[in-house]
Amino acid sequence: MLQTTHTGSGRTRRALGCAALLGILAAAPALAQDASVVYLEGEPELRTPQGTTDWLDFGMSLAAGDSVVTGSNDFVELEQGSASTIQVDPDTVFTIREVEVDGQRQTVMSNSVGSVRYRFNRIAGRGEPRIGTSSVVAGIRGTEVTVYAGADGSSLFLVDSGEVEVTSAGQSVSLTENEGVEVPVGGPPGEKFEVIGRELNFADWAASRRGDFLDDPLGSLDGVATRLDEFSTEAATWYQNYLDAKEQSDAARERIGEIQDEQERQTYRDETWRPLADQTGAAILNYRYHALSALSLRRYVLGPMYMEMKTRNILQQDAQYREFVDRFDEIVGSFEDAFVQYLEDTDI
Amino acid sequence: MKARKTLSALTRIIAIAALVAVIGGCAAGGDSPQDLVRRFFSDVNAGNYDNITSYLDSSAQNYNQVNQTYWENALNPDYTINSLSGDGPVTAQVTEGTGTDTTFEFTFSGSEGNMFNPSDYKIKTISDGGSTIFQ
Repeated sequence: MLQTTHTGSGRTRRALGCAALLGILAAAPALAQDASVVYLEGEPELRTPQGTTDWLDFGMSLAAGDSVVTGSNDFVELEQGSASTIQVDPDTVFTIREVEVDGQRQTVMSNSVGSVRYRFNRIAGRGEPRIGTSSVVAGIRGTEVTVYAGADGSSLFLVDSGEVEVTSAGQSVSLTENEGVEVPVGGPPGEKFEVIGRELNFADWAASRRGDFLDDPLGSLDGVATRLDEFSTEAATWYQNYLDAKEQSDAARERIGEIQDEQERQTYRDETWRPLADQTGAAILNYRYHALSALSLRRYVLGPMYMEMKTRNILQQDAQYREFVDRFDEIVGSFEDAFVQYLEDTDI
Repeated sequence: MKARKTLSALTRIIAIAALVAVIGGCAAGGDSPQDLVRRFFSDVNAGNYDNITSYLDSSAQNYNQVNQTYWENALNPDYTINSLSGDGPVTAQVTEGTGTDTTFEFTFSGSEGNMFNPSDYKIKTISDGGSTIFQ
């Protein structure tokens, strides 16, 4: 390993020599997980296991035990060959370690503070890396995930794609696409939350199911009522999650303004408020998802059912028709009780 | 005579090229990506959250779901724009009302206009320091 003196600062700048690198690769296959610096901003530092602190530079490789330390204006992107990309955000300490599990050396990448985004480009096999914070580790499979390490020791995992299993205090939570979980320090993972996609659109559903509806109008109404009940339950659950998360997020936002020290304030904002705001935002999007899906069902399925029955029975309104109308009115009443609170004028 | 014809043809070509350049280069009308970002922060600071919808791409996943409650939670005004860079994506370095700094990145759909059609850029995604807050 070559070391050069960093002029003016007394620090050392480290670069790997080709011969030394080949030697390392031959001696320890697990070090194939070494990460190289492909992009950086600011003046991030490399902290070695020996305790030396060096400037980080393009092309440098991180070995097991090395840490990347970023300041408030720093950003680092690392690549592990074509296997993965790791983005180290400002005010973060990111470390690569190796542990032995069942006789196999395994790479663990973690951040004790700050946030790190991982993108794993392969389906990881037996030697798959593990990621986490100082208190929690997670196994990954072909994944894009962001890991936040809170100043209070808590961790937040948000998965963009792939699969992550988060284990803490003997309990595991498996996360897939658009799911997240917060883990308090020393405690088991909390309830996982999800950010789901665009709301369901029932615009084309009614036409395709018209024949079924005419065969059994009351049964079709019951089917819609069941689906609305499911949306109602989910919306109510997520609304309560929103209220709970909002309380913490609002308190954290207020706390930002109270912190006098500039650096501490920025760190608190990035590591505490932002993740809480993300969690609150996810809950809002989720209760809105269920409410808007229900609105679509009401508009494009329930409404046309009523119009169809009314048109067909305009001259003769028998007992079956009146039963249908009574049930329809009941469902519409339940809809308003359940969903109006989550909807905006612009939705309607 | 032949030289004069060649010169005349050349003049016409130059004139047409100049006309095309003028038409193509005319102010297109409509907001540029950076204009949209400025208007976004201006409306957020003024609490005009209803206006934000008009800047967003209606095909975005969360387009219908975001509302005033969402924006009030996700953002931390008052914002001062320190710098804007890029024509799409646009990176905005901002200072928040709490004295904290962050970097927003905006991506866009749409295209730059011309003399006959205004630009039709819409915001497709917004991220704050790596957290995606709109997509």
